[in-house]
Amino acid sequence: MRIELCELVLERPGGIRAVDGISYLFDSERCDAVAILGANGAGKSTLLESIPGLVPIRSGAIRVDGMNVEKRNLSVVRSKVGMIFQNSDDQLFSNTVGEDVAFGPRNLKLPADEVAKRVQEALASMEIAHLAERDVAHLSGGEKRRAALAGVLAMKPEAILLDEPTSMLDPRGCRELAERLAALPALKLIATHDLEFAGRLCPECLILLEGRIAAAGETGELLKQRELLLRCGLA
Amino acid sequence: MTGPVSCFFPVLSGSAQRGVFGRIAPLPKVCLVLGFLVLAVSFDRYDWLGCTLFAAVPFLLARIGGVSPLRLLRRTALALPFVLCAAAANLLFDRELVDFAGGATLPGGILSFWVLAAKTLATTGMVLLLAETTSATGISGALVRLHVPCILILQIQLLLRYLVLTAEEARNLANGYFLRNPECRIIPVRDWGMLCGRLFLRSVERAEAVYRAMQCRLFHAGKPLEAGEVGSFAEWGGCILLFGVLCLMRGTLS
Ligand SMILES: Nc1ncnc2c1ncn2[C@@H]1O[C@H](COP(=O)(O)OP(=O)(O)OP(=O)(O)O)[C@@H](O)[C@H]1O
Ligand SMILES: [Mg+2]
Repeated sequence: MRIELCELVLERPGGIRAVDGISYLFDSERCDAVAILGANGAGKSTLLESIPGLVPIRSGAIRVDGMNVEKRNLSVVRSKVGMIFQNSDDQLFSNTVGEDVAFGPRNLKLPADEVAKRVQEALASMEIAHLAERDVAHLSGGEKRRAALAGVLAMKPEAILLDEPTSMLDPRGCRELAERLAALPALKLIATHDLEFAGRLCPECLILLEGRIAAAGETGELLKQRELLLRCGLA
Repeated sequence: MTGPVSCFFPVLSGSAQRGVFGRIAPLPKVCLVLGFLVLAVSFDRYDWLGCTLFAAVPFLLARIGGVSPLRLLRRTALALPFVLCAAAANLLFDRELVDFAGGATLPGGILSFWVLAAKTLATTGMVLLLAETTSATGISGALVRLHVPCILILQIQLLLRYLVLTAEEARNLANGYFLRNPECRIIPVRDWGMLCGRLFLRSVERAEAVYRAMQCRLFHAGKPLEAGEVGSFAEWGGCILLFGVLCLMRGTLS
């Protein structure tokens, strides 16, 4: 799986230039987990949201496996790329956890028994099988995050975009999430401030500063550069 | 979601989908509920006895179906103030004496007020019972089978989601307001404008975010919805029998 950003410029309402000319190639064969680091407002969420076509492209291009992200390709792109939002509340909207996890596979038009199988698998892999009948509004923050992840995993995407995945998790939850993600056979792009999590899971990282790439390379190496981290609001 | 607001939107809060009622296929249930609604609203405006008995039906069914009738009543009662405010005018203007029972008479306003309240309990109670025991997908699948236009079903689904979000946001806003204003018990009128405006903006924003998350999982509005299962012979038999009893009640009580 390859996700390619070419001279990408993204604007938010009010003309705020959240991403300002980024070019980069994410390639699962080179590295299957990439951290996107940056201070508040650096443009991480905007960048991730643009990949499944949620933020209009001002100029430049995004290619997913060679396919341009544009209106006519959106359903193919979205079946390949899953996204976990910064706020899990926005992501869960069905009655029960089980039903919410089934939402994606149903939209993939899978037969009912395959949907049921995928739901079971996804819930089991997130260790929330016991929450299947629970109301999505009555979960803890960490449980919501896992339910949201299960909803995306059930679609078996080739790439998963995670926006601040550790923000609601306790230390053990973070460790377990890192282990689970590492075991997933998919390209993972992870926007986070959690340097320890990034260091543990992602061999490669991209540091954003005001919508531009400030540095990119091996995570271990970059995280040692205190000057750089200070300049980018990460230390 | 907790508190009174959540009571009003059981569709998206905990569903008692495992009781007897929850196990019946959505289509016969939806048909039964539609039939019940038609019968309930068909009572004349002074038919207090029939309406009262009909008002009891959803709660009786809830009891049989393993849903707490008391909880259902609490949720249903939330709709009452809106209807009763509208019906209050009857009390003032309709003073003509009407036969009540055994030769006793009552002002028509009081009877029609009572009938309206009973009709509200009956219809809202039944719809909430359906929502409580059937998944949103199930209901929409049944509506597709009944050839309700997809766009209308979609509107209902999105509206429900929007209402839930608005309720959640209203609660967050109210919490935020009262926490920083501990002396206050009722929000003063001068702050209503600001809070309502904020509520509108925030709920629209959140609704947009939810819609985007739905799109990410391949939901799109123009897509035809899937028809649900038809239901077994026994399920239809049970629902038709029940509807027959209701028709009989309706016939003899007017
Ligand atoms: N909905 C919006 N409307 C207008 N501007 C926005 C919106 N969302 C983000 N922005 C602006 O776009 C810029 C990038 O925001 P973005 O959310 O991508 O940052 P981020 O790196 O994800 O930050 P954080 O770490 O706080 O989540 C910021 O300047 C922000 O103010
Ligand atoms: Mg962000």
